[in-house]
Amino acid sequence: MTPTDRMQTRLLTTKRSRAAKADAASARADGQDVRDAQSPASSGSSAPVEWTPVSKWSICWRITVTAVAFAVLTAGQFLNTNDFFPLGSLTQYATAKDLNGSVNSTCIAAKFPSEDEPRKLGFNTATVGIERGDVESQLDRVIAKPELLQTLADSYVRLHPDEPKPETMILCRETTQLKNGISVGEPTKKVLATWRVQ
Amino acid sequence: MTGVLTAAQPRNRFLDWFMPQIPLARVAVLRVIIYIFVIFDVLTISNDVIAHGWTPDLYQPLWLARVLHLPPVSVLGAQVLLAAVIVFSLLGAAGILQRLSGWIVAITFGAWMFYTQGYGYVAHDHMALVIAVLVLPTIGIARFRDGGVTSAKAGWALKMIQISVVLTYFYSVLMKWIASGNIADWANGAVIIWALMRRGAEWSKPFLEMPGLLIAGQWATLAFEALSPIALFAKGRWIYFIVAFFCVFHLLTYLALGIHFLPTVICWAAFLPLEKLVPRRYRKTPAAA
Repeated sequence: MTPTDRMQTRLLTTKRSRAAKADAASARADGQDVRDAQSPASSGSSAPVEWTPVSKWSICWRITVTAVAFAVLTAGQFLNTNDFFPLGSLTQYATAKDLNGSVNSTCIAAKFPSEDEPRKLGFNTATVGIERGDVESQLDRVIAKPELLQTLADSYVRLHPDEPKPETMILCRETTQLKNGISVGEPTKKVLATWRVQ
Repeated sequence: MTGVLTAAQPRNRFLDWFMPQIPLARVAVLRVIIYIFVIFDVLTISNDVIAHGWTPDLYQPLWLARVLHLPPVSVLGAQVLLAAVIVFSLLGAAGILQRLSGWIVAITFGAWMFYTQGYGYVAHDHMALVIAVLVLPTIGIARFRDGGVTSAKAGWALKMIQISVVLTYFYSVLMKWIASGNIADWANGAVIIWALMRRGAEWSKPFLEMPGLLIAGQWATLAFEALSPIALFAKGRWIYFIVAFFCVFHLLTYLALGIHFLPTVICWAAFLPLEKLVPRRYRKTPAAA
């Protein structure tokens, strides 16, 4: 677009705007519901509402971007990946659970110098700097590299400066057995990884 | 402005749906809702970014973060990012330096999202909100007094938010099908039981004794999630009904499981004629316009 074109465009837009604004104002003064006439193409209404023009380029890139985003989001579902966030797979509670299966819940515990038994900690950002779901999403990695629990211990110490430093961090799992969808017995506890805090 | 202005605006039915002419006042109101919510989000829902500054070893950057070489966030970096999101969201909500503040929120909130999601678990409730923050600055200037000015660019932006909201539900049905192999296995299974046992509120525990009711709930969820695209075509009172229905659904799941899905819930606002919220005295200022 040349500078002259641009100026003409601006003049054209300004003229349109002024004329339409006057029309819109008169419509409002008439008590007409402006909203009813907002889609000139679809309603076919001739009510005076100002509508800003759109260039073909403007339409083209919007269609292209929409199509690409839609394709990525759809691919994300079939590939079952969250990697393309914000266009990831919508896996919230998507996996079927067996009515006669078991319910696992990952937990974090710490052994403190002054205490005999390890104590369960809140598995959240306020306590250990990270949410349970975050660690569950990379559980195999954390079990294979228990030194990653050091970072949870560090977070705990930073977030609780007045409390004793934990000696050992314990990543654990509580399992409840289901029978026909109803829990049976007490949950069992299993240690997944331990780390001596440095 | 680039390209050629099409004076007669030749339209077709697809474009009427895809880029409807909607009042810019609606955008001005939606912008307040979205940007104020973004501030609430970074301070509460996604406030783990500063804590993530303490756990750099657990950083698992997502695709775009890897492409952009986003390093793990530091505590100071997170604090600066937080300040930028808040300041520019306030400017965006107030309609000050609209394009600039909009794009800066898109960039800083986008980075914030990669730092909240890039540590293992990726939440699924933020898709529509991130899309909203990305598309809002493409509209350009929109003011509360623009009740009589319509824009197809605004129509497209709001349509993108609406499609994102609907696909959050609709594609979750697809995902249940893919992840479970058989959708009936999902609906007849123990998903709600599993969720209630892991994070259920005390009042919801008695429902664990009624697996049949919970299975019925799973079928109902599947049905309305599959029907959610109706919202993209509904008009009039139906749209209010649909929005209210999904809000109640999220309220119940919040009360039972503590899962609020607020970032998606807030984006349901993009379906409503928000310009009606602008006080009449602000609409009637033709001289100022």
